Amino acid sequence: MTPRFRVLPALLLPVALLMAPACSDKGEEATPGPAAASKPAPSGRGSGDEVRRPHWEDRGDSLVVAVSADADGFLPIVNQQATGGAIMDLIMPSMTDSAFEDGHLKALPSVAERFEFSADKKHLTYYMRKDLAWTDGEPITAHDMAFTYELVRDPVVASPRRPFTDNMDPEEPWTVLDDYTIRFNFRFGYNTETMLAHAGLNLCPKHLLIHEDRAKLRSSPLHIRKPVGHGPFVLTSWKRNQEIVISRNSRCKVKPVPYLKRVIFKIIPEYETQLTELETGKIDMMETIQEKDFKKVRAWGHIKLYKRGYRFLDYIAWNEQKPLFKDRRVRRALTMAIDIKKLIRTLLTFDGKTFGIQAYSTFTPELKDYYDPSFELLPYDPEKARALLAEVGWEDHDGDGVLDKDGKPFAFTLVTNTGNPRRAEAVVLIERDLEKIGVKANLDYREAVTFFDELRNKNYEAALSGWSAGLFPDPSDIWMSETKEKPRPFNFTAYSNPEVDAIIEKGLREPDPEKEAALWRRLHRIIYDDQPYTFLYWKTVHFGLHKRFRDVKPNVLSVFYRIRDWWVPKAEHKVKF
Amino acid sequence: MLTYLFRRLLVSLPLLLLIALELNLLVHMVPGDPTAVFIDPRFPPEYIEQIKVSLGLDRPLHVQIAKWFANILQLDFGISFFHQRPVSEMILDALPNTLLLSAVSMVLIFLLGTSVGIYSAVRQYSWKDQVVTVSSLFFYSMPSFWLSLMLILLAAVVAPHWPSSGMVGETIMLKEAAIAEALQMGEAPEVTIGFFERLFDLLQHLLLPAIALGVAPAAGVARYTRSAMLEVVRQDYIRTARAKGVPGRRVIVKHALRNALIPVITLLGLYLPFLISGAVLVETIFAWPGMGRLIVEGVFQRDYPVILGTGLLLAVMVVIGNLVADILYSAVDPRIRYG
Repeated sequence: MTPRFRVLPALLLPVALLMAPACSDKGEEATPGPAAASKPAPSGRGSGDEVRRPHWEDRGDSLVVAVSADADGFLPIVNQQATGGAIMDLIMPSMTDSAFEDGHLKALPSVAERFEFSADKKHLTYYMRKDLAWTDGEPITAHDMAFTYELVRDPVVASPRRPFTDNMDPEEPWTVLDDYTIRFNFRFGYNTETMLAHAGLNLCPKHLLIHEDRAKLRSSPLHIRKPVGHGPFVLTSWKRNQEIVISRNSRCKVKPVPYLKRVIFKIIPEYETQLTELETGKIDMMETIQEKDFKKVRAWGHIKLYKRGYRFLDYIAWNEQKPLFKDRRVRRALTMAIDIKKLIRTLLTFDGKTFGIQAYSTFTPELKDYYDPSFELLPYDPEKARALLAEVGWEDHDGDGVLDKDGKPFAFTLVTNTGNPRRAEAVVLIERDLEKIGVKANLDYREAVTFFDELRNKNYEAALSGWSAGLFPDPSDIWMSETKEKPRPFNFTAYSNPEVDAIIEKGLREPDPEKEAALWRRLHRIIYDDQPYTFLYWKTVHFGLHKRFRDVKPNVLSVFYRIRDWWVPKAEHKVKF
Repeated sequence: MLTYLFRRLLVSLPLLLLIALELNLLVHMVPGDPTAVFIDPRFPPEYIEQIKVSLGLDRPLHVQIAKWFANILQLDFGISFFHQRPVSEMILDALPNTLLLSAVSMVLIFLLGTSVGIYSAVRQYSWKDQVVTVSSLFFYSMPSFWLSLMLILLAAVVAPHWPSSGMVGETIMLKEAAIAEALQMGEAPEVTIGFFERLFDLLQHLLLPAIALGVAPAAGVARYTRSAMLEVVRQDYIRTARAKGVPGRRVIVKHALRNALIPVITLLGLYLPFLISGAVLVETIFAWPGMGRLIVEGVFQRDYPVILGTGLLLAVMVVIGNLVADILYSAVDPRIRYG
C-alpha cells in the first residue's frame, strides 16, 4: 500500500475542479490529496482497551465506507480519481510503504527489501524481494517496475504521472541491474522524500500490459475491470455506481495480512444521505463530516470523529493582468481591509471550537519543517488600507462612498464557485469589509468546472478559490513566471517575480533538508509581501468512523492508510461471515 | 392502427434529429473543458493535446458532430471520456434500474392519484374534499429533492432500519461479497441469499424513492381526476344510470371513471419522460444507480458522449411517451380511432 504519492504532481489540487467529478455540492467530500493529521480528535481508542492488542481470533468483520463518487479504475499509470486511487493503494504492490510521523515522511520496506541513495543523491536503487507474485501467479520483478515507468513516459499513454519522470535522466532514466534490482537515475539530487515518491509508483504487471494497446490503456480491463496486483486486499466485485468490494488477501506477503475481512465502498453522492446512513448504522465510515454536524454526531455515541489536519486553503486571487490589481500596494491594502480573524470566527467556529487557522502560504501548516508559527501577518487595519490606497491615487473625490481615480470607481467582480456554502458566506463578509474602505466588490458565482476554466484562462478579476494540501513542497505551478515554453495554467494571478523563480529553481534541486526549508521560508516571506493572493485560512477535515474499530491512526497520506492495522474485538464483530 | 403508428414514428425522426443536433451544439457551447478532469498542473500542454486527440476533441466541431451522428446510426453511443466504457453499456447498466423505479412510481401515481381524485370528487365541497385539495396542492408544489431528504430523515427516526440509499441492503451486500470471495477461493459459500429475501429487500429500497418521485405527480393526477370526474358525473348518462337503479359505487367506477380517465391517461403518457429525467435529483439523493445519476455526473464532468447519449434517450422517451398516451387514449375512448 503506497500512500497517495500519485497526487504528487498536483501539489495543490484545485478544490473547485475536484468537486466536479463527484457532483458533490458541498465541495469537499470528494477531494483527494493527502492531508496532514496530528492525532485523533477524541481519544483514539475505546475505553478499557488501552492495553488490549488484537488476537488472531479478532480477525474478521467488515468495514462499510461511504464514498461520494464511483472509482474510475485501478491502474496506477492512468488512475486519476480519488476513490479509485484509494483502492488502488490497497490492491497494488509498491516498492516502499510510506509513513507520516511528526510532520515527516518515512519510507518503509515493502516490495523492496531495502533501497539506497548514491552519495551524490542522483541515483536511487531498489533491492526487491524475490518471493513475490502477481495474483495470477507470475513473479514480480524489476522488469515490471521498468515497464510501468516506460508506459508512464510514453506520450501515447498520456499518463498523469508523466511529470514524475521530469527530473530523471532523459537518456537512461532507470537501469535494470538484474531481475530484482532497479536503479533510477536522476539529473540532480533533491528532496529525497520527493525523489522516493517520483520513483515510487505502484508496480504494474508487465506480462499483461505488454499486450495492451498503449493509446487505449484507460479502457484496459486491467484498469476498469479486473486489476492484477499484490496487496493486502484484492478486488472482489465492482457494481458500477453502487459498491466496490475489496477483501483480505491472505496470500499477500509484503505486509501483515489485515484483520478486517473486507472493505465495502458504498457510493452515495449526497452528504445528508451518507450522514443518515452513518447514524442508523448502515455504513461505518464517512470520509468527511462537516463541522456543523459534530455535535449531532457526538450525541449519537457510536461514531468517533478523527481529525485529518489542515487540509483546505481558501484564498482570494487578484488577477495581476487587470490594471486594478497590478500595484502590490493595492493588494496589500485589500488584504488589510479584510478581517480574516472574523472570517475564521464566523465561518469556521462551531460550538466554541475553531477549525481554521490564518494562512500565509500554500504549504499546509502540517508540514512542520516549513511552517513558522511566528510569521508576521499583515494586520486588519482599514485606516492603513485607506491610506495606502490614497498613496496610489484611490480617493473618494466625488463623495459617493466609493473610491475613485481618474473618474473611475474602485469596483470589480469577486467570483467564487457555487455549491460551497462556506465560500458563499465568505464573499458576502468580504464584500462588506471592502465596502467600509470604499471598495466595491460585485459578487458573482460560477459552476465549478466553468469557474476553474476561467481561473486557468485568467478570465476573471478577483476570485475566492481554494487548494487542497499537498505533502511535497513544489510551489512552481502556482508561483513561477509563465513563459512561452512553459505555460503555468495554475499561476492564476499571472504572478511573476524573478527572485521567486530563482528560489523555487534552487529549492527544487536542494538535497539538504535544512537548506531547502530555509529557502521555502524565504519564499513564503517574499510572496506574502507581494500579496498575489489574500491568504485567508486553512481548515481542518474530520472523518467519522464507528467506534468498534480500534488502532485507527488518521494519517496525512490517506484515510485508509494502515487500514491493515484496524481491528474489531471479536465480541463486537458486527458481520460474522 | 399500424399505419398510424408507422406514420407517427416517421414524423418523430426529423424531430429527434433536430433535438440531437441541438444537444450537440449546446454541449459544445457550455463553458468548461472535458479535459479538465485530466489536467494536472505539471502536465505539459502536448499531453493535453494528446488526450484531446484520443478523445476526438481536436477535430473541428462539425466533424465531431457528423462523426457522432454517423456512430449513432450504427447505434454506437461512443466511449465515456471519464469512465472509458461504452456509453451504451453504461446506459444498459442504469436504464433497467430507472425503469423499475419509474414503473413503481407510475403505479403509485396512478393508483394514489385517481383514487384520491375520485374520493374528493364524490365528496365535493365536503371538509374531506377540502383537506384533500389542500394537501394535494401542498404535495404538488413540493420539490422532489426536498421531499427525498425529508423522507430519509423521517425514516431514520421512525424506522431506523428502513433502507434509505441504493438498491441493495447491507446484509445482502455483505452476503454477496462473502459468496464472491468464496467462489474466488474455490470454496463453498457459507451464506445464501433467498429469492424472497432479495425481493423484499428490493421492494424496501424502492419505497422511499418511489414516493419521493411519485407524490407530486400523484397530487397533480388527483386534481385532474377530480375535475374530470365532476364533469362526467353531471352528464346525462350518469343520471340515467342512477335512475335505472345502478348502485352508486358501480356508477362511479364503471360508468363515470372510464370517461374521466381519458385526460388523466394523456397526462400519464407525458409523465413517462418526466419520471426518467425527474429522477435526476431523487436518484442522486437516494444513491439509486440509474439514468439520473448518469446524467448528473456526465454534466459535471463534461462527459460529452454520456450527456449526448442520455439526452438522446430522453428525447426518444418523450416521443414514445406521447405515442403511448395517444394509443391509450384510443383504448379508453371508443370515439377515437386511428387509422
